[in-house]
Amino acid sequence: MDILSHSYYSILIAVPFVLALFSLLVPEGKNGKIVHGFALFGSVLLFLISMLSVIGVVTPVSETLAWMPSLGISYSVSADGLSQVLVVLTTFLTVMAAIASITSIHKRVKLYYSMFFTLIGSVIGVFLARDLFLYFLFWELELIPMYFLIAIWGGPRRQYASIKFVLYTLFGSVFLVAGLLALYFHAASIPALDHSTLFLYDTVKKAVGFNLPLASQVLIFTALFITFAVKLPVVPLHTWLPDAHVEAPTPVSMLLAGILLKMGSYGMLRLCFEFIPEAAKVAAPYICLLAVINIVYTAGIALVQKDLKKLIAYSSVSHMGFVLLGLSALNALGFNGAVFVMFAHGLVSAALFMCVGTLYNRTHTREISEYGGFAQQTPILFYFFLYTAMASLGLPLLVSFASETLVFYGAFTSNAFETLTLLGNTFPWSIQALTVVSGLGIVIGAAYLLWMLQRVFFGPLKEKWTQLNDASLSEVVVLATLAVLIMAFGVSPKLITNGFEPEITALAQHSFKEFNAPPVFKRTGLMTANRSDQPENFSSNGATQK
Amino acid sequence: MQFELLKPIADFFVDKNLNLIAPELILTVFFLASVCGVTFAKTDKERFNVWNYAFLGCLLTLICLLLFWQTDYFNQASEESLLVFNNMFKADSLSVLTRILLAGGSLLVLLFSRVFIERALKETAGEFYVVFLSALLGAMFLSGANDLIMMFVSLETLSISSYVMVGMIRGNLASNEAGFKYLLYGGVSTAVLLFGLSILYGLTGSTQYVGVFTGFIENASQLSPIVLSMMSVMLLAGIAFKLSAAPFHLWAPDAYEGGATPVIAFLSVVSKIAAFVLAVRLFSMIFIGLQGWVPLLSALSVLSMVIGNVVALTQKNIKRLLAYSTVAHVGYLLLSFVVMSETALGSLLYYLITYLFMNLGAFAVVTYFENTTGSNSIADYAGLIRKKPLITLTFSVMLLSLAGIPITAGFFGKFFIFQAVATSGNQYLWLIVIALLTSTISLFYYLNVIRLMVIEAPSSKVSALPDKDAWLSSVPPFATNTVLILCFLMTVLMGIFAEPTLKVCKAVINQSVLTHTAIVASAADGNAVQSDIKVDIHQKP
Repeated sequence: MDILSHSYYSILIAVPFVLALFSLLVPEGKNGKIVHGFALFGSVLLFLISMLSVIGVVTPVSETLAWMPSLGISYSVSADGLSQVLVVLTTFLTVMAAIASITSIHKRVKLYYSMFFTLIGSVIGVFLARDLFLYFLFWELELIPMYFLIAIWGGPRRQYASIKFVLYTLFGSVFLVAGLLALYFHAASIPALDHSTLFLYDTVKKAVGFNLPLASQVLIFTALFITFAVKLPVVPLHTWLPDAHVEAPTPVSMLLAGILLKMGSYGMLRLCFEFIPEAAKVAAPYICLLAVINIVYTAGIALVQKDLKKLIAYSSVSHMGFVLLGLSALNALGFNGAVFVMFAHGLVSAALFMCVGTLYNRTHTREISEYGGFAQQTPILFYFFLYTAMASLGLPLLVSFASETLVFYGAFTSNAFETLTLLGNTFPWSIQALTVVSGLGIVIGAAYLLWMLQRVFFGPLKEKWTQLNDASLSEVVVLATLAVLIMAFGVSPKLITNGFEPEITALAQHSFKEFNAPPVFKRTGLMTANRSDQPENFSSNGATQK
Repeated sequence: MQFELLKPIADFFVDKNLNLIAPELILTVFFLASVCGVTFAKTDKERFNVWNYAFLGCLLTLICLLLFWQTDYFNQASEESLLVFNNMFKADSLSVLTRILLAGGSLLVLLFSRVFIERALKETAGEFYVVFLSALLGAMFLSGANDLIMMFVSLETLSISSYVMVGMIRGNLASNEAGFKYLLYGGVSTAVLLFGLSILYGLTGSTQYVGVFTGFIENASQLSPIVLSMMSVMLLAGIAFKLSAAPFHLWAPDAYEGGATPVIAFLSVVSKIAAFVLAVRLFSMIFIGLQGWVPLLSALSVLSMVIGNVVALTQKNIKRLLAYSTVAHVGYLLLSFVVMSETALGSLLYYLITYLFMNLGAFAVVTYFENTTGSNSIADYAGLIRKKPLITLTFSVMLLSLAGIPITAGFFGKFFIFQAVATSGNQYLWLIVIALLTSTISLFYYLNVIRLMVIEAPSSKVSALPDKDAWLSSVPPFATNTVLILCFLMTVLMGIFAEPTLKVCKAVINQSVLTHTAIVASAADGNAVQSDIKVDIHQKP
């Protein structure tokens, strides 16, 4: 146990890479059965390992080793609540995606799983890295398997979609490199810091607080923000995502929506907001504006989609907007809401893409107009699709409702803009107004999801679909597991929020002190000043209040 | 009794410092042996067996050099005790390291080229190894040259042997054309270089590097700027040709396309390393005080990066692609001369070592592919992974390393150089921007090859390869295999353990070049210029 806890994080990163290697070596078996079995076993193993620290069997220790001291690079891995939640989400969705792969991947299975696990390994690396250089390595490494996963196992336009994905991400990476180098050179110019660990998160954080002019901070913040905005994605950098989703096979779509987008929001929270809080205060109003555009605009686009998977992809982008909205609130509630939305979106979007994939496996079309009347043919699939769609549009008691409510509450009670000015005037928009506007996204969301359900599952059944099979056992397993979790975390959000809430709240209170003072609510007047008697109480309970 | 007889000979050797060129002497012995081997060979088989002499020669040379490296005699030795042939050759740590690379690189080339050379050159295969050894000999002497004449003679040995090797495939028009083109361009550039050298001699009155350097310091006030710049341009043009830096790169793609693939591997790695070490010595031991080089070198570097990377995008032949990629890499390497600090030159050495492994690995695959399918077209690599997964993996890692994808050795090569340039002043930032942009461009053509191999359906040539029935069947012949595994391991390991290697490189540069220059500068007679140069040297971080 001692070895396990001392190298727990390294093991967590290494296991997927070992699995990637072994999936090349195991025999393929009939129809790739042996590889599928091996991959399923491996992903369950990975999930169990990641659960060890959650249930408290091991108490992992941060690892820091000197790697290239003369350049300030070290190997450092650790996890706080945020990282841990995302890692567990990753390993859990890995199991789900591995099960989904059994029915949707039939060619070149060995190569598929080696890419699949390389992807998982690099994503876990991104979440666990505590050194900017290591972070960058894993960030770039993720690109290669994802490219091949879309380009080999994708749909008819896979070449276009995969190249577009790579180009967009590389475009973002250029800004990441620029931002990291700027931080690095700034840190290197400070004699007080330990120059053999310049890339460590702690060192960088210290360096930013040390004499970095606000203008430079804003520049670095913007560069990093663009990188993560490509990944998240934020309108207008989002156009790669619908293409990638449409062409990717079902399990890859699940991972893309469930995990890869979280790399963007994780990076934003960690690198932008945690490292450079002063710039975040300046940028918050614009981020808030972007968030609302993201939510409402993409919801509008989803409304007019003819392709079922594209519709779900746009709805996924729309919901990621809530992460942005939560972040721009700059208070504990908003931050906790944002992290919670990340988690909830991981479950719900994976389930939605699973539903779409199940439908596609049977019909081999994604045109909504081709469907109709499937409710009688495939009742089980219908129930699950209905349930996940309800979860997505924010039905109370389900996980999206809980998380998005938290974001709305955080954003609405935020006073992030009040001290800021634009050209000497107060901002022309307030976060409260924008929050109300973003509520439109929920309304439109209900519209496109219900309309989609109506067109797919009701109405006359076409002649050619009379022989459709209902969801198979493996598909039901995936959908049911996700459904149970969507309900469980919706009913009792504390199960998950307890994991990250203390650290996120502490971050908000430490870096954004002025926005986490007891709220006065000048504009809305919803509450009066008697709240100010118990400021700590308010904030520490904030995450679970709704 | 026997020892008594040998003693005077041994004394003579030690007295003249000839033990320092023991590797070259060994190589010469094997060179002569291979000449005899070819001359007295009666059958093709006997001619092919000359390979053994060449291989043994390279191997023993390498072992001898590694022993030198082990004893670290250059740590204690004084400057004088490292000099051979009246100060013409200097066996300092830089030359030992370089010669290890040269001999090791040649050994790798020999390993993966045997089958190919026998097939392509047939009855002239024996002569090929003779010329190969003489080229290596030239390169090894070049790496330790301490005198303009020595430098020129060994450079010519290397160049003329290279012309012969490129044009050696009898009856093959492309090869003969390539050889002739290379010869014409090379001849002109040699003349220009020689003219530059003679002006240099006229200006300073010495052919020794030390003499030239002190000559510059002492006569600084009397040197005519016009003559000085003429000399600079001519020298630079001559060296740039050998390095195939744009705009002096035009011979490279044709020579690469026409020449036998192993020859090209030799040219693009071994002769590049030798030429770069020559440049390191010239720029850091002679011209370190002259600032006029910076704009010229920056221009060469930028042109090489831009032309190399952009033109590579349109190539359809893998050898031409690698030719332009070489031009681009020369561009990155030239950046370090712009800065001329210990870190920059150390990074240059590191890059050369990594370049040796990644480029030779790539060429080993290209040779193997040409040998089995007879094609060099990039399109024919499509779907290679279906038949030869391990070869594809190795080739992909080499290409990723050439592209500078993180964790591979190539990434750190670029990273170190860029970092050295970026930290040495804001006036060089534009160079870094161009370097970053062009290396992003390079991703496209490297990744395109990988994309073809992994994603596309197999081409007709690949389909014709024997089916893979077992996992190990994708393994190529033993010798090629050794090269591939070694290159693969080194490319990955030097990425992970970049730091120790860089440290060694920096120490070598510091010890054999920069310290030397500082001593000579302070020893030279005091005048105004000298103090300037001293300040210059001490400012280097």
